[in-house]
Amino acid sequence: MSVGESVARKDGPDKVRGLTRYIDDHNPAGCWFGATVRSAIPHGRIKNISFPKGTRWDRFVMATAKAIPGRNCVPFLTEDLVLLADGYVRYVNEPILLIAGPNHDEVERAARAVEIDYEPLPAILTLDEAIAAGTTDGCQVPRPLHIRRGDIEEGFARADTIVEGTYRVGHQEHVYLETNGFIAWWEPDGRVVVKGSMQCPYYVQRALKMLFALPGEKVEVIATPTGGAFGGKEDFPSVLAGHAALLSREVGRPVKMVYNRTEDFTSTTKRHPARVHYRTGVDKEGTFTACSVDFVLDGGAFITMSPVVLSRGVIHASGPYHYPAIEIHGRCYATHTPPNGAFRGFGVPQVFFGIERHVDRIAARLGMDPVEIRRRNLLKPGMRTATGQLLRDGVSAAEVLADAVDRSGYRERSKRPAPGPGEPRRGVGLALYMHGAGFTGSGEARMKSLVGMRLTRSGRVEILTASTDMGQGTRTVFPQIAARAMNIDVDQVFVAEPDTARVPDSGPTVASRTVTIVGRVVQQLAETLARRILRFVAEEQGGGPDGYALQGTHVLSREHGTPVGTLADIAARMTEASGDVYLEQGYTLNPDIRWNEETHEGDAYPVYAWGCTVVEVALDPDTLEVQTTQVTASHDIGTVVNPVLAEGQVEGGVAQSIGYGLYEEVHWHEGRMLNPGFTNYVIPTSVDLPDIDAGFVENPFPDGPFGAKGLGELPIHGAAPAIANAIAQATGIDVCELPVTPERLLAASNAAAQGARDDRHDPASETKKGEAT
Amino acid sequence: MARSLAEIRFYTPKTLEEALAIRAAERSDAMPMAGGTDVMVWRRAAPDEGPAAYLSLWGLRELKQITKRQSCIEIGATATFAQLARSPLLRENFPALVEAARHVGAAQIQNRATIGGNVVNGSPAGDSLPVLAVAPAMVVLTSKGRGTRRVPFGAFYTGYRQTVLEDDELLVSFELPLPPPGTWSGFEKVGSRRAQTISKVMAALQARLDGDTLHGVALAYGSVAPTVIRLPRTEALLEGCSPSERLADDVSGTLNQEIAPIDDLRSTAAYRRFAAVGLLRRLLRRCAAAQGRAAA
Repeated sequence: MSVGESVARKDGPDKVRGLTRYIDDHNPAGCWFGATVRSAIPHGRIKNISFPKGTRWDRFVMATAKAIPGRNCVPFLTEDLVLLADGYVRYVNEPILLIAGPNHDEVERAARAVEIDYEPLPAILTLDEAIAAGTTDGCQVPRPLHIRRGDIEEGFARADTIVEGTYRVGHQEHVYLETNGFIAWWEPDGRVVVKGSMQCPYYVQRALKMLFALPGEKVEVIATPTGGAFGGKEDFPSVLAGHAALLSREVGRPVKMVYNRTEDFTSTTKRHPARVHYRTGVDKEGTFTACSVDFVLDGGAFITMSPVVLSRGVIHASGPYHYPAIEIHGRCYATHTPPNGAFRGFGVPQVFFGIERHVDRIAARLGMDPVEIRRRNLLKPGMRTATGQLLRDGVSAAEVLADAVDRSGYRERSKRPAPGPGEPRRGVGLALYMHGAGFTGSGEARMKSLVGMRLTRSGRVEILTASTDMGQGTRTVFPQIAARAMNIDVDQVFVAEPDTARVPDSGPTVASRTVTIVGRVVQQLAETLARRILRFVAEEQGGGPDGYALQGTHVLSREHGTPVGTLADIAARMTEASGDVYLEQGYTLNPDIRWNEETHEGDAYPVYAWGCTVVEVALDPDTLEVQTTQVTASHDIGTVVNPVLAEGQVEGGVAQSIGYGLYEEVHWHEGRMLNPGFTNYVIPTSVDLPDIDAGFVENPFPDGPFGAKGLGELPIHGAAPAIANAIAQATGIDVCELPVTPERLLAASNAAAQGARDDRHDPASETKKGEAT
Repeated sequence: MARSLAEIRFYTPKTLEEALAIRAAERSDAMPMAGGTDVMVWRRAAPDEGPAAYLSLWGLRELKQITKRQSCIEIGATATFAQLARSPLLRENFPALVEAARHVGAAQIQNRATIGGNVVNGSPAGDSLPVLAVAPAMVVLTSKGRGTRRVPFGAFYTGYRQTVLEDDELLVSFELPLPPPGTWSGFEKVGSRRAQTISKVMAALQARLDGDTLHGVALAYGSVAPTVIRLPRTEALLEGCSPSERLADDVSGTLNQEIAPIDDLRSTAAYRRFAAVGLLRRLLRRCAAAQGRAAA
């Protein structure tokens, strides 16, 4: 019974003892170092690249786009992203030229000495500028998305009150502990091998195939232990692997490229900035009658993952609520800034800040309790979502709301007495949310995630998967699932190093899909392997397979309850008799899932996971500093496979969401990041974080492994909007933009005071039905 | 000109005399450094622009002492913030300096960073500066050729990161006059989070409590002007008043005339003005509480 137990993480002891070898710990013999020369301007043509005197250029090897033997393209959903700018740049720090040499510091210095002349072109640097301009020169955008259900006009006509609001969020940096890094080399047989920190070995393989015009068997990608990723190593590693491989091809030696923190901050992807506008009709009882949503993203200079970030945002934009009529419009604009990419939550934290702040503002307008308005409108089994998906089982919005409200003492905390002079003002806020795990619609049917499983000669079970462990626990929970399916000890099971030469394509390690999708295949394979072992024993010992059972490290006779042999002995004989005992299987999506990509109608996800986060804040009246003092989270992730790891995911997600809500902000000047370091890109430290009470409501998902849904992204949705709601409750300040820094609070408070003064002269400004606020 | 570490000359004198001789010979070519917590960060940020040589003062034991003299406490320039934070002498006489020392960076930084480095670096966000301004400290400078001179802290800075330190001189110590009985001092800082943060605004207040009124008021702010500043007109308004948080609001107009904060990466001028008053409110509230305890 290893599912549901807090099995110690298998990679833990090595990490604690400092033995884990990350990519920067690898130094192959004769390895050279690579550096990147990047664009100094946001948009323009490259007129000339020169190599001034003072550097021994003959001691270095260089590569530009001209050196790429295949296509100068890093493919994602589209094929617009270039590996190296070729005469034309679209953002500050776009890579232009690569340089390698035997000494790391000398290479970095040489890279800084390269001079590039540009012909600057007008640049579009912010979402607002992009919206105003309509198009952005040199950049493509994904197609807009629209969802429409019910009679919108009728819904708004029926409303007693209409509330509108615009909510804004900026970039967020992933801040994984380990920066991006790769080592690449070419084997004499013409194969290219890259190893590094990543989430998606087969994405990297696909990119290298295109860049070097090679078949898959000539491209080997090995994922080293990865020190955090959060989506930041879904897309970008394909670029860095391409750079290292290209340099290595030119040099004829292994080439290592590991970014320092500054380069990682300035040059890799971030969370998409967004603006979301809600217009909601509500009747006297507080029931929603209609909703119109306009969701706008800043994709940066290239498309990369934006179409699916947009899609996921649009699908989740209705929140965990039911509307008789709803329309959702989503657009993504391009700017001359670094491409934005995958980040835990993937377009959803942006819309949940909007919807959850908006629902509190509706409640305030109606004088309703924030819990009550949610209870009245939340999705229940039998209802349809905005995409028309009929929800059957596994709907826990009501349960997680009740659980979080009860455990947090939300009611008592909302009724605190007014603070004395100098005492902090306390507020409590909540956010209710859901997340669809796995790829959208029929994506998992197309992906067919393959997993391999081998019974080794010594009787251990090896899981071969491209799903990486970036700290979230793949190497521990997959063995738990397999061990449970086979009824053997979890120590008998291990996960192979993700190496595309050995492991099949299980799809990318993204979208909260590892446990619920790939883990399901692990479960099925383990069940098959167990049957095969028992069949072998039955053939050997006589009787039917049903007469035997696996237990721990042994096979037992069911009749006598006594061991008939160890798994090790039996495995040795099986291998002797029939060779390698290896199984491989793909994922089968439930055939009832129906999805229309064109219209965004149907079953967006096989199942949703649900969550509610309650945050209490204390606001210092002297400085407007906000401290989170208590977080209570309730999540339905189906069956909890490993409680300690699951709590860790929740605590990490809450911390990252507190960062998004209160601290984290990327400052830009003319397309350049001004705060690429921990001095001025502020993340919460341990003393800035409160106690986090992470509870679970287990509502099993029949198609998941032993009932498990997805978890990774869900807990990042709640804290930021809950903080904004708590601050609004404590201060009355209408917070509509993240992060809620003291500077922003002061500006909002001053603007509100100014507005109140203006209103005294304008009695007609009292909002009535249909008017904007 | 870019240099690798191997090309850099690194002096490690064993005595102050030796250090002053190197300083006199190298002048501005060798940058004096102690804990290196600023200097090493600059090197990493701009590896092509660093100096050709460093003069390490880290090994000079004579500059690390915190000593009680007849009328002052002398703090060696390379005393670390960790040393300051646990000094019984400072806890007794300059609790504000202990508070400021505890706000500097992280524990690791406090083990390396020195008060002299903080002052010579001259960032208006240096945590120890407002406390030295209200003490008020005397800055002791020494050179091989010209001997020792004492500069009042208020005259040490001539502009943003500009000081009177000559290129043959080293800052060797600070002399903080022993405060008269009944003196209260406090330090307050607002940064971007609770720990390991550069200040957006900070303030130090030192005053003698005579009955329930403030006398000899000294008030200094950091991060609100090109250098750390004293606020003489606000001090004059506070003189003879009874400390209370309302008092901060009463003097906020004058306070805001005396500071000149700017918008930058870390904050806005408007917020700094707001928080400057808030920090004074905190200080006066704490001072009033201390006075209440003394009376009781």
